Amino acid sequence: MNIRIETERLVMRPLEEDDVERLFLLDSNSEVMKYIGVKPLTKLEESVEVIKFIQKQYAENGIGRLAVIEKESNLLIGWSFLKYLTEEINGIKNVYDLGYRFLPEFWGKGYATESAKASLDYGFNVMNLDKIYAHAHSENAASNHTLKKLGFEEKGTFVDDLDGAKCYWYEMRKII
Amino acid sequence: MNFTENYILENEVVKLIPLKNEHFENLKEFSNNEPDIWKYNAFGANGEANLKKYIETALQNREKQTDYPFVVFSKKDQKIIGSTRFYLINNTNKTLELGFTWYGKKYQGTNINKNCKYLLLEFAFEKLNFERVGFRANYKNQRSINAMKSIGCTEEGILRNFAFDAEGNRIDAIVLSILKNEWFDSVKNNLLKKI
Repeated sequence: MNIRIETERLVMRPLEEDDVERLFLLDSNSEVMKYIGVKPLTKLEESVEVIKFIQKQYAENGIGRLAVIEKESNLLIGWSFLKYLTEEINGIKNVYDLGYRFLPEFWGKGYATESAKASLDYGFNVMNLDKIYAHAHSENAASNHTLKKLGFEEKGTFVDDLDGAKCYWYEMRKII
Repeated sequence: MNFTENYILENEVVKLIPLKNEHFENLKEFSNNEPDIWKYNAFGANGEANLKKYIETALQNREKQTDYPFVVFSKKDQKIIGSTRFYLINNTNKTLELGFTWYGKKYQGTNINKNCKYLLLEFAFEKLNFERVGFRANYKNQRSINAMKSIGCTEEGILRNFAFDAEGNRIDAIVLSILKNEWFDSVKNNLLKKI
């Protein structure tokens, strides 16, 4: 997979082995992981596994979350992009899901929106998808707000299999 | 497991606090109003008299160093809403059973159970360094069996005529378990599912 997307302030590109330390910074942060349903990571090797897992998705599905680099600092500040769901969420699989995760110091700058818009544009216009899905923990106000602002339509709630948390389920259809 | 220590296990959703006699006051509303919580089990806490015995037995077993009972405090509701227990604790074999779990009806099928189980398993495998956590249920209690399977338990078999239910009928018990390596694998897989 060789997707590279550039927006005004960001570069999105596949995750690489060298991203492990920045990715660990992200996934070991308790603020970031508050609504994810798993505990913050404690070992760098876990982030190595995460990168391998995403690279496997790139190979098998031709798509997966991309590293997001802030142009100004040239730092990896999180990830964003589409994922092909091969395991059921809310009873649905074999569909494309939008997701993102950013380091707290980069919150509130519109980066989730900026990277998500680029991801949706890629999904609808390059991949020609009819529908893109998303979901967020019901108490994660910031993420729910972003998804609605992007134009996602809330389609009810479901209970997360892992931690039993209530989540909102969202859909967006391609506007022709 | 150190039976004289007061272990408190907590996350964002629940707090597990070692059971004490005083908790009778917190638990009695369930014994009085929702006695069929215990319909699948003998020695339940249906009614205040049984609740008293239930707490006594649990605390005696902690003294005998076989059980370690907790009450479940829901952070959202700011109240005690159930109870759960480690039992048949064997420090030599590094095995224990997890059970005697019940929640008020309103809290069944919510995220309370998952969060409790997660904290208890994490404690057993990652703090105590135990090797096996076993579970038993009335073979007819499908709700309970499904809950155990959903947290990654493997069914081991059926113990025939093993116990009796609240009405005194003999029942078969199903045995399930999760092993230390399975716990670490499932934690890892859960992590990867969230990316």
